Amino acid sequence: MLNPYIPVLILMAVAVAVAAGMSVATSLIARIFRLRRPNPIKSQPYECGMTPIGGARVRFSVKFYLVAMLFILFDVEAIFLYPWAVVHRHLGWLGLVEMGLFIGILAAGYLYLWKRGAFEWD
Amino acid sequence: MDGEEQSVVVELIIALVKIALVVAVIMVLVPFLVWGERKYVADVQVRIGPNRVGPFGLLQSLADGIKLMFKEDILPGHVDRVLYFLAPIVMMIPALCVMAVIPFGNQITLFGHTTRLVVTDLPVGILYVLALTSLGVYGVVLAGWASNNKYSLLGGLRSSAQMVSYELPMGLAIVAALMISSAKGGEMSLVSIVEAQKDGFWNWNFLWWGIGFLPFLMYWICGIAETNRAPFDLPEAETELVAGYHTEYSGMKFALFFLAEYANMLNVGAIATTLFCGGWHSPIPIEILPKSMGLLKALGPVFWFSVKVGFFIWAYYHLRATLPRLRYDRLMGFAWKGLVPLALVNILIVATIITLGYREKPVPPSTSQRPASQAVGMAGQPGPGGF
Amino acid sequence: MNVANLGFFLVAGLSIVSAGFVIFHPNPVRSALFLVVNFICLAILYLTLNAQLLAALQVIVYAGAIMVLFLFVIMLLNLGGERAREDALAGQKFAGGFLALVVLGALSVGLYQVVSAKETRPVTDAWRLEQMRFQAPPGKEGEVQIAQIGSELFRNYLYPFELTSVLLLVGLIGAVLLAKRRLPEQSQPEGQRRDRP
Repeated sequence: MLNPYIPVLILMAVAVAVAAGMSVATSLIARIFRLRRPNPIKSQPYECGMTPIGGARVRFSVKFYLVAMLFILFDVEAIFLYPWAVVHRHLGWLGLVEMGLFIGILAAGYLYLWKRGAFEWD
Repeated sequence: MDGEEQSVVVELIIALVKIALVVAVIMVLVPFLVWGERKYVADVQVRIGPNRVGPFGLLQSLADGIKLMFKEDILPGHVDRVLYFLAPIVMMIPALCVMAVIPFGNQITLFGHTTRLVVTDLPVGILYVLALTSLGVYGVVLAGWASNNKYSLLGGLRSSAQMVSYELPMGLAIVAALMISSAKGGEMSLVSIVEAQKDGFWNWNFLWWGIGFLPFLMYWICGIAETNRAPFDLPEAETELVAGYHTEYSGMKFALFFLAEYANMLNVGAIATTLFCGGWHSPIPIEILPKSMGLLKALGPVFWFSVKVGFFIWAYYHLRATLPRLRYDRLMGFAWKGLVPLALVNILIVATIITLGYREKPVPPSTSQRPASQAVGMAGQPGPGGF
Repeated sequence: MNVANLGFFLVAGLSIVSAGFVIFHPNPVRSALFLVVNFICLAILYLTLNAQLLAALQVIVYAGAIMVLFLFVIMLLNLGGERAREDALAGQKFAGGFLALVVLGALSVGLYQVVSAKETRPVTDAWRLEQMRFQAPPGKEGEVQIAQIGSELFRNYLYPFELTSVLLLVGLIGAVLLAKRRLPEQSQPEGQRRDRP
């Protein structure tokens, strides 16, 4: 029997080929039809027609970092839920109680975050 | 070449055909989806919409595609060239690959080979979908970063923060879906999840005990946010961010972002269909066609699958046409303060119901007396992995 | 050498090369991206061991979540190509080299023990899971694995599992303490702060 991951691998290769092919195609067409006339103003960063002020690599708000951090922590929590979702039917009340405890401990942290204003975007 | 090797080669060829089919259908469908959206939104806004190119403007997207191909290939001087080139490709790959595990029909017999209408049936199918979804954020971040433009960077950041925030409740909604389908004998493979919902719409997961509707709705909301569509299209809020992370993109590279967006819409619709709306099963388990019309019978499930996905696409259009864009703080607050706790509570409720009623029981008997294999074709056949 | 072996060496080679780039590439954003490539290679290697759940989790957690945070931090600090090369701590290179040697030593010892062992016996839990797969019916390995990992985790390893939630709790509190430190703003009267939208 064919390993079920082989078609996935093929599809990924096809996806790469399609996406890269389309990107390369523009460059090729541009080269053939000489559709490339750069000039300094055209290659400026777009800032609604104004002369760009300062660089684009500005330091941004720490809130994004907090979102990513919280996402990791809750994602790890969700990870434990997947195997549990498959087997909990065979675990009975034990499974429910232990996952209730797990979620409960995290819910305490969640409430702390809420009180602390971690979910406010201000 | 012995028999074993030969059958592997045959399976490989069949897999290749299916892959080509899936990719071709997505690529051909997207222009029509774009046209359909423009037409529908125009209709809602009492405009005419595209009507010049071809009948009813049907060829408008084709014309746009040709235009994009022959546009000047602007490579802005300030970008990080490698990442700028890579970002649309990175965006496109997960969008195309998700379809690999989605069963879009039951099974079909052609030239003496019977095969399931799914590219491949992975035992961890739903986790494969989640893994690819979690990789989707890179295209956005890279595009925003590589463009070296303030609008792009801000759009990319906003978009990625939004995508990770909604990925969390999406994963939790999928946990609930997994539990509901495990109560019916389904597992992590999407084929088994679809088969657990056979014999009529009352067995579909979103109607399960009245609570299945909650994860279904949550998945759908998160799916809209994941695809950056209205009313969650903050990354492309043109009034403040021009075009967000793809401000500096033009030509075919821009088209790739567009393609990826619509392919992702199809993916979200297809996964919502598979997890919650019975996949390719028809709503009422009645056979209309006689057994002799094998090929046509095989296309019935494909029809139902398309209808359901089409409904979700229509819902995308309608939401875009009717809802205003959310404010960013509301958007993030909705995910973190609304959906996440709701999803966790929902999981515990579903778990309680299952512990009360479905503990260690085998697959519940189907509501219909008709043998399952007759009602929906192939439901009784052995499970995942087979072609 | 058959096709499967060739695939293994290709992916393993790619993972080593990408790991090298993670360390030696001057641009931190590229380094982070090579780390993503490395994680995906590791996931494929897990797949070749038939550890499907682990492979999926590797991509979801490491490539999909942790590396996004890394990218955010790199962009947040706005590390240019040049600034990244400066040593933040004195003697960092020496310490790094020393630690690398320690890790190499530990890995060699472990490898030697595995290779020299007369009989393969379950060393770690991962090893036990690897053995479990042979009991699974063909085509059902992934499902059985998940169920087995689940029942192991929620029956035999219950205590560590619950402790994980405490660990995550500490992580949550740490994250919010780092990112939401209340600066001079706190000295403002309570009413004024509330009034802001």
